[in-house]
Amino acid sequence: MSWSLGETGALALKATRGAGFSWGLAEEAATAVIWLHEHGFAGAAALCSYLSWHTRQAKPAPSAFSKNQDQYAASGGSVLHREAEAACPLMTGSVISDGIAPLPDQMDQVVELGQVRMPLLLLPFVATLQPAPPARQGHFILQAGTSAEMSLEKDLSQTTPFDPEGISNLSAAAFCQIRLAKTPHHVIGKSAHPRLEEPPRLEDHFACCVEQLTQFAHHTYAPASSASRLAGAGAGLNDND
Amino acid sequence: MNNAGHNTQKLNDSAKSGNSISTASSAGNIPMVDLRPASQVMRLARMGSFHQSRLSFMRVLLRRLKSQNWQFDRPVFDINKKGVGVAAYRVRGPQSTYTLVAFAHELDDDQRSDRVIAEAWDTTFTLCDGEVDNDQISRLSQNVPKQEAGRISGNEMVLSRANKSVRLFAHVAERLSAGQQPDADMLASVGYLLRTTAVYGAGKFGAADRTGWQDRPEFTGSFQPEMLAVWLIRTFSIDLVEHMARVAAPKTAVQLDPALSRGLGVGNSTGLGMAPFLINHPRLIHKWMVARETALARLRALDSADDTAIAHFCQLARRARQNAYDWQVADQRQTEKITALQQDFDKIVAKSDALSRDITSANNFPWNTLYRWAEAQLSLEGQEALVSLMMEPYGTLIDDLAATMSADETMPYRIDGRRSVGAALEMLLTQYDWTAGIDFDDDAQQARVWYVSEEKLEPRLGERFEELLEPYEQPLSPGRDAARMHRDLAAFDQTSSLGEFLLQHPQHRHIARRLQLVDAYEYAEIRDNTIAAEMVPIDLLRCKLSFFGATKFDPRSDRWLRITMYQGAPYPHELADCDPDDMVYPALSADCASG
Repeated sequence: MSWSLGETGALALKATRGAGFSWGLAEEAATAVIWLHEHGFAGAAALCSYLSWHTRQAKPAPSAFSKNQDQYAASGGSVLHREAEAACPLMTGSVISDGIAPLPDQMDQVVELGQVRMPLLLLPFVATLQPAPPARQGHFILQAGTSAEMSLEKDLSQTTPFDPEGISNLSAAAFCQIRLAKTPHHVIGKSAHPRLEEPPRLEDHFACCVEQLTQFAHHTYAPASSASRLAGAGAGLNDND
Repeated sequence: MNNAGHNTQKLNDSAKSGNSISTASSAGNIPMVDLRPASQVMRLARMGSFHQSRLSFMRVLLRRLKSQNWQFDRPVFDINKKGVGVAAYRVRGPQSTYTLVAFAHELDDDQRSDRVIAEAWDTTFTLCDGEVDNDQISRLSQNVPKQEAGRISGNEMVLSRANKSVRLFAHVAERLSAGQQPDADMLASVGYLLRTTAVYGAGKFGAADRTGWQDRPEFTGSFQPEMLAVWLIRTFSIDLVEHMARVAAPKTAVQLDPALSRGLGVGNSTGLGMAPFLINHPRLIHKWMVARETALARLRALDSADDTAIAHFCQLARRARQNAYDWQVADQRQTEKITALQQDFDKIVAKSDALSRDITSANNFPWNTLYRWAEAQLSLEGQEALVSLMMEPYGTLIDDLAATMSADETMPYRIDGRRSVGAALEMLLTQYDWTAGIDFDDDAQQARVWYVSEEKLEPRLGERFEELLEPYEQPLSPGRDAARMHRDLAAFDQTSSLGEFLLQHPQHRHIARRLQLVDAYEYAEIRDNTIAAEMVPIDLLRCKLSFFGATKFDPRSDRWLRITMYQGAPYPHELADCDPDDMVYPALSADCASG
């Protein structure tokens, strides 16, 4: 059995919402998971693992960029400050893609994000960013872990999604930073085009992830009831005509 | 038709004379007037009055298959005396081959339901990419009959099922087996032998992702694999009923008269599952609407019409009028709309005769004059029927627009969070100005909840104040969501960035993205309250189905309807010798030809 990217994205959307995130953040998660699979990463496994961790917490992880009210006021509303607590990759990624996170604007400059959980989920937000003036050139690289980008490749892209230990390791937080580099991250993309020719599919070894995500998604469905059944189109009618 | 002679200067002159025509450029510098604004077009009452047109996807498909000389055959037909078995229909084009695999089943009457929650059907189908072999058919036979509970693969593109019109199927089989033709009136009143209850494509249940085939030239536009599958299902419906007649009485059975089979299409039951589509695909809906509005704007910019175009229009106006008089439904609201449409068509036919007489006074922008008259004189049904009808003589002017009617909704749409809260608020007040008069604290304005039931994931519309459904609410109420964001934006520091606002209010992230998207795509949003007590969901369905090319809209309640697809269209073996565009409207019967 295999799953299309379209249904994987739809499942990611519902699963993230079912795990308690807003619809808007669930849309970010779905986009991230599709991007990861298009580029050869186990996005469904990463999301599955992160949502499993998230739903066990008393309160959600913050964004890496949360406002410190005092310093924010002192800076005239222009500075966002990094949280000490390990951050949520979806919240952090959203701030980055919204364009309000401080980013390196010169070659080889680095902006530290601090500890971020499941940094693989953060990767699509960083990799699809376009450098703004004055840099205009170069590529944003997400570096995670002690040996930076190499560890991202080794730890994340090669982790098999059916290895429970590997998945649980993925949800661990890693120290992340964004660097502006001349060449794109060597684990990202096989060509300049962000998409592969043929859309990849999730093969059978993703079955456990799909099952787990389906359970999260189930929280978005209303329980069946006779009243609900009557609210469906065509209820109570005979179709033997 | 030569477009080169349309005179922009005359348009400007006309604008000065008070005809409210202005010019804008479309692709290829074809003159056009301003598009009708979204505030006029994107209203449920108008969208629920749309009719099929040259740009409808069924018609786009048949024109393409004909012009590219696609070939058709039936390599497999292995169906037993009980009507159970499998058939395969193969279509071959310049670059690709596709095969519809059709399974026929036995079904007890108590199992037959058009609802999503059904678990068995009379017939089930899948459209395969390429040829099929026995191994593939064997795999499909284990999955396709189960529909949502089965799985298809990246080698398949469409999954569908259909139930028989029990009454008509039995009648036709019985008559044919006795060597007789079925009753023509009964055929006309039902209109189909098989009625699809779902046509899934684009990655659903394991099917190939759209991104894998969207660049194939034969699928330019929207829903082309689905339209191809349904067209082939129609052929299967005829083959199946003739087969059942033959096995019942091999010595006496006859084939269905081609003139009668032409009047049979494929039925379709459509419910709430289709309604959210228009809201969930804002970029695609924008593309559909822009294409249709551009076609109208090009026609309205024509400074004259030649005899051929006028004669074509006048003839089709009569045939379309007959179509309106043949259109009968039980639904009271639709019956009133049809009655108004019939009266409108009487006026259109009379007006078209006048148009024909006035043709000598050329250079008077005849189509714009006609459209302006329609806006003042006709119901919404009549206005939109006229818009479709005006396109008919002008294929060379507008058919190119069909290729623009697609969008990749899987491409991410990033929020620009750098804008100020004040700017976001201003944008919201502009784009959602239509919500200003709606009090979303009023129970009637938020009476409904769109949700998905755990029962086979059927989309439903519930009553907010009668059941505990809000925790399961789908994001399908942009007006209410915009009003809520408006309240929080207004209370936030106006100089802050939208991104900072969303960091503190992640619940508005969905509508914030939508707001920016709607700002970029004029026709992306339906400008009505989609959770109001008085909202009629079938208006959403009707709009989408008109773009498919459906006819004979037959509402069965406020939330589902039946339609007919491909009624009057040629069958595969007839396509080379027919003009599929001329077959959408019925031939005139003798008593109304004179009009």
